[in-house]
Amino acid sequence: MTTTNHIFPAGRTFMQRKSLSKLARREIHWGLAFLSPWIFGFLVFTLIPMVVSLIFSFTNYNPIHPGQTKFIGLTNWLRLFTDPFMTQAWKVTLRFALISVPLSILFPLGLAVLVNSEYLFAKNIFRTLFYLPTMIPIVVSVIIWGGIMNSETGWLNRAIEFLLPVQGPRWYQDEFWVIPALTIMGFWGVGNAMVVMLAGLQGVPTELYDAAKVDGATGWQRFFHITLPMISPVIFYQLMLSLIGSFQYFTQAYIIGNGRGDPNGATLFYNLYLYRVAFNFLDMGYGATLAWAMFIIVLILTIVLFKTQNRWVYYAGGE
Amino acid sequence: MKTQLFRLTALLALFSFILTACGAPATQATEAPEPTQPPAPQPTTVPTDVPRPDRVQIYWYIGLGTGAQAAQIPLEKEFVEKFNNSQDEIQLIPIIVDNKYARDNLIAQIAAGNAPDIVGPMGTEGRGWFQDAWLDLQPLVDEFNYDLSDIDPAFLEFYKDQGELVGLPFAIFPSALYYNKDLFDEAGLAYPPHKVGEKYVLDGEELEWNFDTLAKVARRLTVDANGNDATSPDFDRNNIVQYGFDFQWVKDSPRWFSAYFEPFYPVNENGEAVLSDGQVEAIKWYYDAMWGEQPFLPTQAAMDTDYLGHSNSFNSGHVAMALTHLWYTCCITPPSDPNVTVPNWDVAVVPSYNGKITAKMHGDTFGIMKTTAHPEEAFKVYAYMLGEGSAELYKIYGGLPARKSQQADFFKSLDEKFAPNKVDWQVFVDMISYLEVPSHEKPLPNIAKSHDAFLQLGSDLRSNPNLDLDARLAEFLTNLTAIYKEAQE
Repeated sequence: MTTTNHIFPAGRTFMQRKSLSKLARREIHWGLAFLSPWIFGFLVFTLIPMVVSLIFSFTNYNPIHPGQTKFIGLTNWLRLFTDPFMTQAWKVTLRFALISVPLSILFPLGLAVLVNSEYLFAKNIFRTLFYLPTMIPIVVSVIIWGGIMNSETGWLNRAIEFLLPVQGPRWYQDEFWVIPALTIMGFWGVGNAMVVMLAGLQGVPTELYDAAKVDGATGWQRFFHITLPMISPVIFYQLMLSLIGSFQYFTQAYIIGNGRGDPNGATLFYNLYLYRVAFNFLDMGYGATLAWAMFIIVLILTIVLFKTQNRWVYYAGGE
Repeated sequence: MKTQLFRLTALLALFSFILTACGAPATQATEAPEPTQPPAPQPTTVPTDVPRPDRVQIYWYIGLGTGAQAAQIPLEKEFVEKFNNSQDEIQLIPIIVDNKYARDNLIAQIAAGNAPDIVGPMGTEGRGWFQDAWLDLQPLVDEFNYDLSDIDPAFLEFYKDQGELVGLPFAIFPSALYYNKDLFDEAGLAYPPHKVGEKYVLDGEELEWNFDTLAKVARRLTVDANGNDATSPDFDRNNIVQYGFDFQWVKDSPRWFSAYFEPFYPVNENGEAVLSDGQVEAIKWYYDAMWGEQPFLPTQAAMDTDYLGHSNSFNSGHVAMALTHLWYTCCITPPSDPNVTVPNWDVAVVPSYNGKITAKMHGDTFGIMKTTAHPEEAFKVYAYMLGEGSAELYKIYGGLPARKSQQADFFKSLDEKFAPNKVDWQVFVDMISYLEVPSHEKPLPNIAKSHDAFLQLGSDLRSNPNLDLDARLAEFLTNLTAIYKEAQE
């Protein structure tokens, strides 16, 4: 398809600007001028630091002793394969991703179906209530949940101990329970995902449901054979965000784990480890390598996910 | 004309966009008018003085320890102004950085080849982050015949790092045992001793004031919701409402609290990690105090509660005794405050271990960076800070003056703060003689990682009731040795 506009008429390119009118050239200049703050910011704060960090990954750069910086070839990159903390960080991150990513799809989807139900009274109030916690800053949310999940005085354990003849878990102090605790904490922030899912649900044409009803389809059949395929692009989008989000998980783990991955390395997420290497231990060279390794892995996962979408994502309007 | 006006407006808008996009909000290049109210804490404050060509500029970096609180900043500026007016050779320029960002900010300045000349006040740990970055002051002390006669020689040892005198004693913070008199009265127990060598009388029996006795007393002061103390068979350890003892803000690293038992530098001659028997015993004592049959010390989960003041446990009024430093007076609510929780408290001597008392010490000082281009001028400022100008700095920063002649005024100010409660400050003075050598903050090899390993161990002790302590300590030493060796490679 050929696109035309008044600056680049059909068949002309930017390189052929010599033949552009004076007005068109002026508009280009002004356009670039107004874009320049962004271009400048992108270069100074994103592109150049990325390039510099790539260079750092081949050095032993330590900011306290910048004069001792040496080129060390692939040493940092090879260290990725022998570093025991790297293994620990990946284990923690993958465990969290395996638990939280499916739940971060299912839970908001369930909520969206609920608040979209024609049988629900005061839908808007419920939508607002479920969305509200996302307005609370992460740090505040973690502190609030710290109180709720405190193993000695938190009401969650008090409720468990009231209802069941067991002692509640030591949520933040137990290596086994801390990841489920973080996942539960994450449920509080599913409002955004719920709204996206809700928009998806409301975009499903009602005539499809009407036709299915006429054909005798049950509620479950309508959900699995109409709703899910029709909102699969939204689920795919949410899956991408959740997966990338789980690899970037940091703030909650930093606060709960005292910035060290407590208890005993159970919250040493990849990003937290990267932060510790670069900014606590000042091993900027290896820190840069960790950052680039993360970028490459997330990029590969994203590509793989995109490749799989042909098999399960349904775009009603075609590609 | 119209076009020009449009271009001018557009250019201004563009320029403002660039400034907005690139501006660091915290930097302030021009001198601001003196505010009438103390300014709110800022992430960073860059030097506001314009360098004068007729003087040598000495940059003073504040924030690595105390110094960046809103109330302190105007006083620091007054101090600088007074110094600058007192002579015509040096221009002192302060760089005040919020403590949260000070370490990273100083790293950035060093990396940029733009390091300040003087840094401080800061503790041993703050200095330790920048090992090898400090100037040995001994040659300058000799050159200027700097008078050290009013300073305890033990302090000078305390401020040495790898044999180099990297700081001169400024403010010191000895340790003592804080105790809540009301909780002792309620339990009908005698107060702990105020003099070294005094016995403690428990149930009519005279006992040596050591960590075993402290544990016995602490158990009697640990109470559950039903009023049973920790020695009672009916004691409910899941419903403790009052604890007998805590290491107040000195327990994150086992290296810190174990120094009260036995000071020891955990590196042997082969560069391997090692703990002394006293340190191991301290760690076991501490672990048993939380997870043993008769607990008396709050665990991590307990510390995280509002009930225990989110780690300010002694001031919550629910902890009977706390072993810590003089700086903790910062954080006990004074009786004049309507929210006072511990109106009647006093201090006692540190308990002994194996017949020996170790009252670990914190010491604040200033350092001169090795990279300074003007060491002599920097030392002149340094000498002023610790000499003629020191009285003003003590007012700004608190802390017991290292010079004996200035100590009485300091305690007088604390008496005023905590009136009408009377505190036996002499205990702190007596404890100075029992400071530990080597310091529990003496920098370790590969300090960032090795310090972190100690913190991890401390966290594990506070959080995990099922530890096999011997196995955990063996694992810890193996890991710590690997961290030390990493620095040697």
